[in-house]
Amino acid sequence: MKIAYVTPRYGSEVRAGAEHGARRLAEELVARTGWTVEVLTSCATDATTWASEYPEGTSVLHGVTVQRFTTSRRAADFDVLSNAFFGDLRNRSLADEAAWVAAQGPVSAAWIEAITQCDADLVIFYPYLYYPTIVGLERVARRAVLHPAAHNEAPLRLKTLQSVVPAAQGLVFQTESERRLVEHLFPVAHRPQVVLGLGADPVEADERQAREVLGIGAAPYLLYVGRVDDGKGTGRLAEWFARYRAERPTCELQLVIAGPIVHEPPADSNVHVTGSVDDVTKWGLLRGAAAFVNPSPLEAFSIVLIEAWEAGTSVLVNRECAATNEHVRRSGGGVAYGSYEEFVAAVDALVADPSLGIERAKAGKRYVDDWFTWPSIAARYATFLTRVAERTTR
Amino acid sequence: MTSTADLDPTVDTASRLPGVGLVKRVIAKIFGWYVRVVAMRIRDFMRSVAQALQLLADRVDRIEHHNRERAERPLDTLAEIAPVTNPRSVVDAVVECMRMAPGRTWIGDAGDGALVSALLESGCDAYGTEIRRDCVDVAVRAALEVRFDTAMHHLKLVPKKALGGAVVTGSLERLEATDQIALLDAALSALTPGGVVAVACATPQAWDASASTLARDLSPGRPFTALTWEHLMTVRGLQNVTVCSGDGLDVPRGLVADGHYVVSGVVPR
Repeated sequence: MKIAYVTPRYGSEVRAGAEHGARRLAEELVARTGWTVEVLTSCATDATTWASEYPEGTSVLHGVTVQRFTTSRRAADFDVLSNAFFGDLRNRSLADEAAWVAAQGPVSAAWIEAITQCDADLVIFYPYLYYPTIVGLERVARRAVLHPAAHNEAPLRLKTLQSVVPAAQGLVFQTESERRLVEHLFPVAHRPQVVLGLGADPVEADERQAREVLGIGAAPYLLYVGRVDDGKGTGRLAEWFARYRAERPTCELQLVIAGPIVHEPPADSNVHVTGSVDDVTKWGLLRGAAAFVNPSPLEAFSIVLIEAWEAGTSVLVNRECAATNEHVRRSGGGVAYGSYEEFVAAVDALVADPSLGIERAKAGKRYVDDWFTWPSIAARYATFLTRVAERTTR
Repeated sequence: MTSTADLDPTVDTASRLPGVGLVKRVIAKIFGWYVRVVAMRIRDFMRSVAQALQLLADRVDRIEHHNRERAERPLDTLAEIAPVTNPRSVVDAVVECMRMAPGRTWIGDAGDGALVSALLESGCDAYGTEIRRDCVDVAVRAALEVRFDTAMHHLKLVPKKALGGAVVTGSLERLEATDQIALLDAALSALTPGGVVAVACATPQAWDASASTLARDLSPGRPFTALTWEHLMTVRGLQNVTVCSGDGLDVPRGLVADGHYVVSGVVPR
């Protein structure tokens, strides 16, 4: 079987999000099924500019053939345009939507033509949000599979998507909550579907080394890893943690926030904002944390929760986020908080009784072992894709 | 000439005649006062109407919510005490019915996916829904498409005429009569012309004899006889309505295990 992925960015340096998922699934399929897998993608690594970092053309990465296309760069004032556009979404025409989709990018006529001409048995689009999916999917609808990677956000209400999403012959979701969301917004309940998720890729790492790198000594710490962005809830997390510590002067607990910084969180002597860290440091931090906190209200999957449990660490999640709540509810690997008071209660409980965190972490690890190991994910995924491909040839 | 979208309420009161301007202004003030009072009363009236409509809308929302919850509650709770598996002969009878299904076949209360698996093996493109999480997990581990959802909720999401087959089984047996019929109607609405519906059920006698005390006490309904399903399908205009029954109480036109039956029909093209 031949599979082609269409994803806006592709490469080892993209370490989270939908494009990371696309790469890992492509690599697992090559390694475990022997299928031919190619990827049609941009030359960009930065989704905010689409600036070309890779040369145009064909290369091979971990057995996957990667075909890259130069795309137009995103305008600097895109965010302003986008906010104005979504401020009045109901009154936008399809032409307005098409203009927004093109402005968001990444746009390449050659790329769309390559999708149309692609001879793969299945063309897999991942995620729903970008130009190549919105414009390209319907051109190969009879062979199209979509990983929406959707969460409850304004672009999911684009009228354009009412024809794009149902055109896919199969849908791959990361969580049950994503499936429910998409089923309620689009007439796809009858389409072949699978709830799959992603696996962790742990690396050898030492907690002490990570502590040394960051200079946080032996103090216990809560950890966040990911984009440091107010939209991800990191500003509020830092603010709440500073307040928590101010109310408990003798407490030694620290907060470590690691990841590329979009919005600098409010400064506090007990909050350590590290910027991006390498994989070894990340896994060291995960292994040493008293708990991992994901304050984001909008996640489609949250691979870092899976990584935290893989590293033997329990989690705290924002109750507003359906995906992370689902993980916590099904696994018992952590708790959800919906207010400052609940956050405080959850942290106090962990500080007072560290065995609580250990028990939750074990439950989380069982959940990961049950559902998110690469061999089982790849096997279920390959079976699903085979069935969809069989349907398309009937 | 300029045009305006607004209505300008001020009137020209100037006059070249002495005193007339004053009279005009007095008249304008009196009329202005009158119009303002009437406008205020109209506004108050409209506000009251809007509030009343809002109250009505809230009430309708609550009733709809209550009805929806009431409609789905039996499916949620009763599924948890429903048996997981159908006898092999019932599975075989359903597979036989669905050979002619012109598209995807959905199975309500699919349990651990035995019926989905049998249909797939027969070449039928099948998936199911199931509310018991442990059953869903077993099915998913076997790479079967069984989704965590109630039958009725799922059918509400399926576009009209999107399915080639529908198998209604499981907790159906324990629903109120109106809910059993509503489930059949929801399945029919999801079927394409030529689509096949099958109801796989225990006979009332077998159910009375085998159901747990808990199931008997908590169930708002009990299974129909095969003849009732045959009648319901016939009056809905289904074609080739067929009964496979394992006991002599129904019409034995095909055999399944004692105490069970499968009734099927085809949506006219």
